[in-house]
Amino acid sequence: MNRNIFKYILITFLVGTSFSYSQAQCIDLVKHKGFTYLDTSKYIPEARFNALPLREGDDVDIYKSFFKDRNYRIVVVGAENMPKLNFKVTNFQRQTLYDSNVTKMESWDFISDKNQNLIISVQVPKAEKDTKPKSGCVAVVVGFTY
Amino acid sequence: MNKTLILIISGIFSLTLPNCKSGEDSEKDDLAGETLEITDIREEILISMLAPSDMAVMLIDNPDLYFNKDIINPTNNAVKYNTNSKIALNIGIYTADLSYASLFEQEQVTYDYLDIVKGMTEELGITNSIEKRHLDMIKNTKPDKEEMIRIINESFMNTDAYLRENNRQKVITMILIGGWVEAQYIAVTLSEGSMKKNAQLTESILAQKISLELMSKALENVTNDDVLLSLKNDIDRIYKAYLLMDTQLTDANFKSFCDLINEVRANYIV
Repeated sequence: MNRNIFKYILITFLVGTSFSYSQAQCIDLVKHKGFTYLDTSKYIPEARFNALPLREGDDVDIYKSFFKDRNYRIVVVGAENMPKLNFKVTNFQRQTLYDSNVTKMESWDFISDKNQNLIISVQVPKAEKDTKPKSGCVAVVVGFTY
Repeated sequence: MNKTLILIISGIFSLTLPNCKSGEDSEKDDLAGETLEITDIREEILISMLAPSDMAVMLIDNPDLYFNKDIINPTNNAVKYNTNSKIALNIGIYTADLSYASLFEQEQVTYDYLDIVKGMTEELGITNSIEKRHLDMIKNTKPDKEEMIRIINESFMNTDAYLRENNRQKVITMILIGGWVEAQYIAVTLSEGSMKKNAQLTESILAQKISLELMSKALENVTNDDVLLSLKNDIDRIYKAYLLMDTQLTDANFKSFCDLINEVRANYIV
């Protein structure tokens, strides 16, 4: 009985600490790699924290508002152990405005021509066959200029 | 992608460690059990609603506007907020207020309000999100508005990251709603309820319909949480007022929109 309780506490602790550790890595990823690619001397980082742990083969969509005549930079970065990420920016009709598969860049600079909600779709490429999928943090950092 | 897995892991973490957060005694904690309701709020990494500071920049960063301390929520109201829901909502409100002050380089007001927000976040068990160095930078380095916005955004991002770490989507959602309403309240007050007062400001107020749409989307699965349902109802009413202005942008409809924002905000700060 006591042994089971101990096992439960240990598992809980390990799940908790590993999750917390991965999230702590996420804020580091945003503030170091993310802000470097953003170039904070030119772009003011927006305040929202858009980062989470993902595995190879995962994807995520982020819905975000962009305002007319504003200059934006969207940066998508992953932890060191992660493969190069792909991201697309589409409107709600799923028309593609930007595709990193075409440009091979981690960031996209643009001026929003109208007030619009857009979808930033990030995709972590699948792991090679017969290999265990790697997991790590993925962050989307958005900045704007005056 | 395996979003379910992320939710499950988040759920396990929050359900097994619910009492690790300080400042959440059950008597005053109407956010107790918030972590049980993760299915109510759409995972907001997917729906990145505007932070109060970004909202203020998009809405009221306008050279023809001015700073008026009389219109923001006084700091002495903070002692009245004795439930976690009220604290969360008013963290958003005070963050919008201090962002407004920072846009007009009001260092002392920005400092005072950031200090209040620091205390309130700590009451919710969010530690170290607003660091002493953030306050010192505002007080000692005479930052310009861009530097102040960077400091405010960094401290807000720390709060956001902490809440995500601890699977507290309800708290961050309430902060964002409070911030949205307060930034709009400042804007409509400065417009004096007239769309002719400042054309750029009117355009910015109307532009925020899209950010409200994302907020509605984030709340669309809320069905059985009284606090969130009440906020969702406010959001729905504001959205209807936007739709009315879409149909007919008249002085009367604009004034009704401004009155509604005033009414909702008055209810949040009591």
